Amino acid sequence: MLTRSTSNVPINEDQLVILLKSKDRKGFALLYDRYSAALYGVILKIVKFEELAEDVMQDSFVKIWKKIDTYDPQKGTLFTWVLNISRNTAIDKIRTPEYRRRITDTPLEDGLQHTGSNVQIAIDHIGINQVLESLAPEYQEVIDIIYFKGYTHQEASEHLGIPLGTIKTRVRIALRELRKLTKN
Amino acid sequence: MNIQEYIASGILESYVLGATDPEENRIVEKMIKKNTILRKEVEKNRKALHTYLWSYAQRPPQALRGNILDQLDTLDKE
Repeated sequence: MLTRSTSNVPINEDQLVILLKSKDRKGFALLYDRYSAALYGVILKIVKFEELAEDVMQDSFVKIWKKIDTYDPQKGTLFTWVLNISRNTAIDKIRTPEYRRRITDTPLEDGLQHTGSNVQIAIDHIGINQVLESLAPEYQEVIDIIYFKGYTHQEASEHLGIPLGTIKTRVRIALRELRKLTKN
Repeated sequence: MNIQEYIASGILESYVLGATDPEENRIVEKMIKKNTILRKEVEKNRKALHTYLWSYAQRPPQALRGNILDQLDTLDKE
C-alpha cells in the first residue's frame, strides 16, 4: 500500500492526465493528494454525514477511474471534471429514499458547521475565511441551494420564496463578487 | 441572440453551477467550443465557483486514502 504523500512531486496537469489515463496508481494517489480536501469538503457539505461522505468519495474515485478515458481537456480542467463527478455522486446520494428517511429521523442543525479552517489551503492570494466573509449571506444562500442541494433556479425560487428573476440576479452577482476575489 | 445577450441571459452561470439539464449542457458546450469570449466567460465563472468551494475544503479521514487506492487496485485486476 502506498502511504507516502506524493504531493511534493512536481507534475503538471497534462502529465497527471496521462498517468490517470494509463490507470497508474501513482496518478490516482497524486490526484487524491491534490484535490481530496476540496472534493471531500464539497461532498460533506452536500451529504452532511461523514461516513456517507467517505462512501461518496470512494464511489467518485471508482467512477473517475472507470471514466477517465472520456475526460476531454478541451471542455475544462481536470479539477472541474472530477468535481462534477463528485458533486453528481453526492447529489444522487441525497436523492435516495434511504437518505431522505435518514435526514427526517436525524435532528440536524441548519446546515453543517463550516469546518474549512481545519485545513490550510491557500486560494491564490486570499484567505479562506475572507471568501465567505466577502460574500453576503443572501448570495451564499442561492449558490448553496443550487450547487449543494442540486436545485434548479425554479426550485430555488419556490423553496426560498423569492422571485425567479431575483434568484438569477443573485447568482450573477455572487459569481461576479467571487470573480473579484479570484483575480490574481 | 448575440454574444453579449447570450452572456446576459445567465445561462453560463447556470451551466457552471450545474443547474442546466443535459440538453442545455450540450448547447452551451457547442457554443463555447465555437466562441472564445464565451469560453473565457465560463472559465472565469468556474474559477469564481472554485474559489468559493475551496473555502469549504476539509481533509478527509486519513484511512480513506489507502482504502480508495486499494479499491482501485482491485478494479485494475478485473
